[in-house]
Amino acid sequence: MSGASRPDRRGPGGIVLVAVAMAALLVVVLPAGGSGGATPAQSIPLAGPAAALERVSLVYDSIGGWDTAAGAENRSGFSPIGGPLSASVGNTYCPAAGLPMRSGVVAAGALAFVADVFGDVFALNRTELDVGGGNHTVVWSALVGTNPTTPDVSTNSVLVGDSVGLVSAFDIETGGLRWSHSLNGSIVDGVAVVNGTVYVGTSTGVVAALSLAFGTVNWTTSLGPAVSGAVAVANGRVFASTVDGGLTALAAGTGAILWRTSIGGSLSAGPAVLGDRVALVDNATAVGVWNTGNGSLLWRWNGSAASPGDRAEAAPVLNPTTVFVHTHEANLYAFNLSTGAIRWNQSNTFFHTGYPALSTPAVTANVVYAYDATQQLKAISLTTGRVLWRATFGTVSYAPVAVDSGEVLIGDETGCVHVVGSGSSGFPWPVRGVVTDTNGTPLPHVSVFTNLGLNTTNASGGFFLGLPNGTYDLAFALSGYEEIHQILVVTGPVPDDQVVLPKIVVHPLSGRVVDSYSGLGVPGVQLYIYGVDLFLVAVTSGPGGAFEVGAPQGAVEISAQPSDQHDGVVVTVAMPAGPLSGVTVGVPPTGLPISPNDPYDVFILLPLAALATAGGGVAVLAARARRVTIGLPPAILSRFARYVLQRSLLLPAQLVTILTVLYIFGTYIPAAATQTPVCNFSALSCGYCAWSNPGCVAQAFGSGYGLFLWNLFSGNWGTTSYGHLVEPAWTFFVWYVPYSIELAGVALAISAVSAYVIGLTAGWNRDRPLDVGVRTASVIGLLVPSFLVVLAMFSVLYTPFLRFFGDTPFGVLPAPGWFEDRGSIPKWIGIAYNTTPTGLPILDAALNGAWRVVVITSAKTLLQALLIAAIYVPLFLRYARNAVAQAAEEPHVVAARARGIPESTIRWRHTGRRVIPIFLLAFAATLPLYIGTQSLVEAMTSDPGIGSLLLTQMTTFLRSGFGFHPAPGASKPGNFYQVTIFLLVAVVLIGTLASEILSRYLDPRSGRSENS
Amino acid sequence: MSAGSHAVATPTIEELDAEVERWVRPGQGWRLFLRRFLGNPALITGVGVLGAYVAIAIAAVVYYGPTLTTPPFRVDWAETIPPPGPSWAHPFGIMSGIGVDGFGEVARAFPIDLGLVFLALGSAGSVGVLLGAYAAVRGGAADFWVSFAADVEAGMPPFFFVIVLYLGLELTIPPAWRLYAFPLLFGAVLWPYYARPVRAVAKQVVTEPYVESARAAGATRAHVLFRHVLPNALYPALAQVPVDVYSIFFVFTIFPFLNCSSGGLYNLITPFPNLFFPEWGSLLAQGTCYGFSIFAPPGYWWMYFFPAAAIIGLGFGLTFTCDGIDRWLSTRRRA
Repeated sequence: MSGASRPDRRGPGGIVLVAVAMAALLVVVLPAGGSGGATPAQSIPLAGPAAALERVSLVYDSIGGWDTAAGAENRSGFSPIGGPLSASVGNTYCPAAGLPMRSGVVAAGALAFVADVFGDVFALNRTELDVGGGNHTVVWSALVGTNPTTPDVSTNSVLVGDSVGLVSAFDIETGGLRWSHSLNGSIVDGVAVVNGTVYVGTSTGVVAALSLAFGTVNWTTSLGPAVSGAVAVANGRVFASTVDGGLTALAAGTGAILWRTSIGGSLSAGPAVLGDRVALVDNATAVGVWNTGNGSLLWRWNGSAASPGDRAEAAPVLNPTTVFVHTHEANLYAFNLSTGAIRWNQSNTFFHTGYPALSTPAVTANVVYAYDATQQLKAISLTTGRVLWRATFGTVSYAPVAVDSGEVLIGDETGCVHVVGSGSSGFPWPVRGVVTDTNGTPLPHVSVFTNLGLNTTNASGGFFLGLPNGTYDLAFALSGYEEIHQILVVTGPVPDDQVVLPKIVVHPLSGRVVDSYSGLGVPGVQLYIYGVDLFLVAVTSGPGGAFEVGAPQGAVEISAQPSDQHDGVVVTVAMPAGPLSGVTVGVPPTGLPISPNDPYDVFILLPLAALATAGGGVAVLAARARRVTIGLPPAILSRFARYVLQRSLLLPAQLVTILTVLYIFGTYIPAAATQTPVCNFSALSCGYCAWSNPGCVAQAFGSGYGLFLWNLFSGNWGTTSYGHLVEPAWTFFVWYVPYSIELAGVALAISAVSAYVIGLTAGWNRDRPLDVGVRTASVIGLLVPSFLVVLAMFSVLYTPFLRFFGDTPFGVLPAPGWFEDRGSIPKWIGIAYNTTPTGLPILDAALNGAWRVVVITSAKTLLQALLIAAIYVPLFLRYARNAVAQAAEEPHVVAARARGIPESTIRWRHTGRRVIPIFLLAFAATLPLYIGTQSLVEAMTSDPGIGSLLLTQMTTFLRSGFGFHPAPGASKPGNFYQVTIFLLVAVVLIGTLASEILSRYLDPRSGRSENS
Repeated sequence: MSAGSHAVATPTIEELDAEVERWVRPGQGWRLFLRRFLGNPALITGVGVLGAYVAIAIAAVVYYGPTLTTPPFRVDWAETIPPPGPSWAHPFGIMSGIGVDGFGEVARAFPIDLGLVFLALGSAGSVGVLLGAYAAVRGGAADFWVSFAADVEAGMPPFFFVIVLYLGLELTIPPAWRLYAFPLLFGAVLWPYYARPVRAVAKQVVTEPYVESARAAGATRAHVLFRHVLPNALYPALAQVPVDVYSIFFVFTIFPFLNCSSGGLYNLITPFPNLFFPEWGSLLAQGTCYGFSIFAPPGYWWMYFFPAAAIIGLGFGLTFTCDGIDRWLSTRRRA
């Protein structure tokens, strides 16, 4: 933007003159020694005739006043002027109530610009916006086509593209239309303006360059497939990605294709460029970084392996050291820009609101701002990945986050703009200085932090910032030197600063990296050692996990990086003024060193079962012989006992049938349909026979069935994955079953009590209003789809729950963020949110004395149990209600009435007892439906129980192999879902058996004491 | 007895039935039928609702013709947020996310959903009822094996069982036939829920004096089965119908909804060829996923209300019809 076009701004010459003149006039108060060497937490109160000076607006612009996340031409999302440090100030203004804002907010000096999906473009007064808006907030508005792009305001024009292919240029101050040009297709995501040229990509696969002055076409280049996101322009090159995964670099002047490459998967977003790096993320969350010069791939990360099923449609963002990727599931990954190593991952594995996280984050030098599926704006430390603060708006946003001079701005789906932070309150003053060591040698590359952002010193140790009025914590940091803080109060022009950084005195720090599960040392783990927000050194653990580094006195952070089999972790230690040894860094495993071939308990149980069976047989024969000896009939069992025996004998037959069905439909038929080599599911060699040979196929069936049973009963369940964890299936089962058991205990208790009371009351009042009401409610409850019941109850309870407990009702234990807000996740919660020592979350929380966790976990469990009861009880009543009515007409009830016994006594004692066996039978009949209901509720509430694990396994693996690996020579069946279904069915069958036997036992006509 | 004697031959049960029919005057049977029908409000309501559904289904087939299963899809509708609500042009609004007109989509689904439900329930009900009643009448080995098969299969949660069967067979079924295979697999999973209670009641019915009398009069096993046992043992099967409507739409809705709302954590399992295939369960899942917010209910209510209403209406129609038939048969039982 030229200075002449903005009357309130001056050229750079004015800055220098004014700054030099005022520096001579100002009274600068520094502590003793201030010019020779600053000490930590120095205060620099400034005074002077600030009011006599005009603000130096161009300084503000040149430092990056409009380098907002979506507005910069390189699409990096990086803003050197930082965002707010707290969520204490936040306002909302809704210029387009009801019309979602999907494009990013951009700012230019005193104005912010935003567009809604209908095509309204608004210029907003930022001062008004900061206080919540008013009648004069909208300075001007204009109309373009639907789904406009993020405006570009880097010149004195506002440039917007839209879905009908128009690129429009408006006067930035008045909103007057300067020109518009029509291209075929839609303009994708954004326009970039560099050196008087407007660059756009279209849905027809064309990249076009237009003249900024006239809107005429300079050149067009066709890439073939549709452009997937906003084009990025840097270093004289235009970078454009296409939906098929292609990335193309074109010459900005001619449109000639310089190089092309591909990320491999389909794309929904565009590239981001910073320096000589260009980054791209595909829909399956693969991340790639290339050299901008020759297109050589620097590194690629396969996200689908780390988080199966997760997607990414937000563009990556970059700052000079890190790449950030935000996924559907609100996982926020931070990668080292140079190496691709994961620095940290902000995971929301257990939180699903139904809304994907599509918002592109914004990043400053030390903070990344992300709007995620929790409908919160999070400020996350770049160094540690910890959440620094959250601002909750409670609305959905898919727009990019924008950071600009102390503020974060974001548009949402309701047509509102949210502002967090106090804003710049005007234009900044230039702040200059020199950083030296104690010998007076200038120090280059020193990081100079302010509340608003980062700068670094040049080769002469000089630095330059633009700071508006306010109080700042000015920090100077360089590896190997002490970090210096100065409190800088800016009320006017600022004198030049002189800062001295003393060298850090370090002491030996040693310890071990161990596996947090087994306690064994883990070699080869890379450790990054930080002082207070300052990187010190990197080291790799050696044999036995041992490491040793030098560290200064004070808080030292040891950040263990993720490795093949372990997650990363951050450990903070207090370093004394001397050596420190024996530090233990426990890294949680992602692949436990447990052999999937471990026999587990089944080898102990089988001999015991055989022994018990043989002993029982001997006892029966002995009893029979004794009865014959004393002259009694040989039958030793009562009628009831014979029933129990006969009924029990059905169970093994049922189990074998189920296993056969699971094998045939889970393994054999899919193998036959895909002509998979028989070695992949049987003990036969791969080339043993072809599927066209019936005899051989029959042999493969038998061999495969034998292997299937052997694997199942020997505990060889293979390994499986859930989220980013890859573990033996048995481990998952042990982790997740207790959650389901605890929930089932509460849900069945609530369901049983409510069904008993409602069923008995309704059946007792047959065809009266109460009964009719219950019948109607039962039918409605049956017919309204279950997930609507869950959603309806959550919509009522979500906000009160969040307010009361400070946590969402999803999951069972409090969310990771809840723990982080109160310190960290306690050690009794494992890597998969599994708890110790019992695995039952409520009980374990109580055993560990975490009473607030007990309350929240109990409340969530109770809520889920109520949901299950709301779905299951209508099903149950459908079976049980008539039984009450029949029981109410039985002779003993009629006789009790005749004797004048009170109605309530007859209802609850005579009829109530009589219907219990019938209710048990109804429970047995509906137990399969109950299992399905609990699985649904677990899945929808993100409860890490066996039901949601099974649904994930079924929908993930059934379709892609169904119990066998299609690749020849691959390992034998990984049949976890078949195991899980089998065990669930076994639970149902045993529950049914127990219910029927108990029902028979309670029924006085069962003849259980016939022979006694 | 000699061949030339004048002894009166014992009439067969069919002849006795025909004699009873002759006692009724011409036209009186229809009047009795009408009187009993009009005295059965549940049956009137149920038949009325189902009749309306069938009429709409026929109209949809006639109106849309070959394009019944290929509704027009518009990209701009799919991406329009908020989607346009109900209006004269679009009485059920627009379904954003999948980009279709709500009214057209719900209307097109009438013949498809009626076909799916009646195929599933018809196959499960007819097989289950017949096998259950036959096992009770026949006894012996037939009774044992039918009971055994039903007991074994009823132990499998139908929700999981049908998915295991479908995905096992999916690769072997041509895509065009999967739509028909799915309800038939439902029939294969649900028949025990009809066979078990019908068998239990039929075991009691076969010991009733009128059945014994019919047998003594020389009635064939088929006559006993269809004339005496089935009508009196049918009522538990009628009570099962709404529960199975629940099971069917549970599977049709839950996988698309989990897939959509979880952003792909749960993969999609469906026999339908695409997301905007006109089927109420799938529409309801997509409509709820894109149109409902637990933070601002009811959201874009038209996207899920109309498919849900169609499902609930069908369920009510079937429930009332079954209750009405039960009342009709129980009247006969009492008589």
